Amino acid sequence: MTLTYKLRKSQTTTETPTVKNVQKKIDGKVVLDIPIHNDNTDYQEYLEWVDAGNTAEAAD
Amino acid sequence: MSTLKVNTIQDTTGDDALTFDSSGNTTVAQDLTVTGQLNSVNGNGFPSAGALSHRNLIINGGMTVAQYGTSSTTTNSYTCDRFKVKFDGENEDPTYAQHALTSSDTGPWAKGFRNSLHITNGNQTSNDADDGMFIKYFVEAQDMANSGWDYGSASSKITLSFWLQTSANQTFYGYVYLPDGGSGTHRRYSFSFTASGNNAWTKITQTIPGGGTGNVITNDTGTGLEILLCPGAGSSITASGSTLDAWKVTDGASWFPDMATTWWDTDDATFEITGVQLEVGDTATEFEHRSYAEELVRCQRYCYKIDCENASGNVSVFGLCFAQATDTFRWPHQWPQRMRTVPSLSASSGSHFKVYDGSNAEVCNSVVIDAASSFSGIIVFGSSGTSMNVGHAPQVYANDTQLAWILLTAEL
Repeated sequence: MTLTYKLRKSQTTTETPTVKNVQKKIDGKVVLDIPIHNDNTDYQEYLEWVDAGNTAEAAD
Repeated sequence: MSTLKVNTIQDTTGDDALTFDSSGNTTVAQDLTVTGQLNSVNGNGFPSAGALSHRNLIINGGMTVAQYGTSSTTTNSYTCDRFKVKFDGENEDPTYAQHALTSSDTGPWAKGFRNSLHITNGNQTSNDADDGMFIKYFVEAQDMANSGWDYGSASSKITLSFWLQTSANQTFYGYVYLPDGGSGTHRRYSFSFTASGNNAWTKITQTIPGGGTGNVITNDTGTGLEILLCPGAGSSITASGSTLDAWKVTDGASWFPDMATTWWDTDDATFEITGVQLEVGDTATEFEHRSYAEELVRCQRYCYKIDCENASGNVSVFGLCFAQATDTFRWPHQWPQRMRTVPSLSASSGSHFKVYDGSNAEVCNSVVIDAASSFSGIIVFGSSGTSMNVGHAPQVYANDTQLAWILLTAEL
């Protein structure tokens, strides 16, 4: 099982899309769309993954 | 010692105060005040502290709600809502499931339980230091802080109770853990429990006192208290002589004393729980049964699932989107209640969803969430086809006979 993350741009209204989400991937398949929010435990796990020296794929 | 044999005791005015009949019944003529502790009423444990209703701090303790699904082999995930199952070092994945009880489940069945969380071990070929199987429950901090438990006082207590059945009985361990209080000061209270035999449902009760000023629970939406039950663990988290039944500052290497490997080493060993209750006071009162609807609403603060199925020509619809582009459809959606925090989204395959605007239809290929908050968000569907008209409001529904689902999670 390979865990990776990819940043994702999103928008609320008419603004230019910016990175507001992180997508969790297992073996290359997106399994979770995670808003960037400090109280979200999935986002906390992503930050731990980054702290361990990993880097997410850039957003499209 | 002396025995008083009377039918009636009168007060000083000559009126009957206590009357005893030949069947052993006692009648109290006037008001009754109990200054000591009333331990039971009608044979049921009576609260020694805390509220007289809504006593159970555990959500879904009867395992009635399983929004995530009824069976899983994925570690660090859920079947029964709120009860996370985690395993490490497995040689074969264990299976855990929401399990239907029957009248053969002597004990919990008669007490009104119809479901359990049931773990079936895999074939673990060895017991290594980092192996382990855990059931975790996280109580939101503000619910613990406002529960009435004076967690800093040794005279104030909480009581954890649950039904346990296991096919490979041994001494098991569990703990409650307070993650607030700052780095290096988190506190843990470990305890042991065992069933009365193999495949015998046993009611487990553990009372836990407050632990002095070192115990901290912040009044917020984080984790206030973690409960962990452990069917098996390797030596990396156990230590000979590790203290039980006392609060201690956490030490990563000594959650529990060294642990027998009976359960972990047995292929297809089972470990099954239901009726989990955590309440203020030193008495395990009768389980607080709640309706499915009430449990579901409580679960939805942490997990909210919506699903639609297109079966036998009966098409069920999620709702109306608006077409932001010919291949992008945005569905503003309000959660049924405020979730604990901004939720993550997972969903069935994008191809399980379809949009239709009155003249054209497209099968989707992605589902994501934008502009999310704890009470609403925009679920965005994408398609490879581009026949939708921008600005129109297509309906989104399940494609063909697929069960399409969206899961929003704000777990602790």
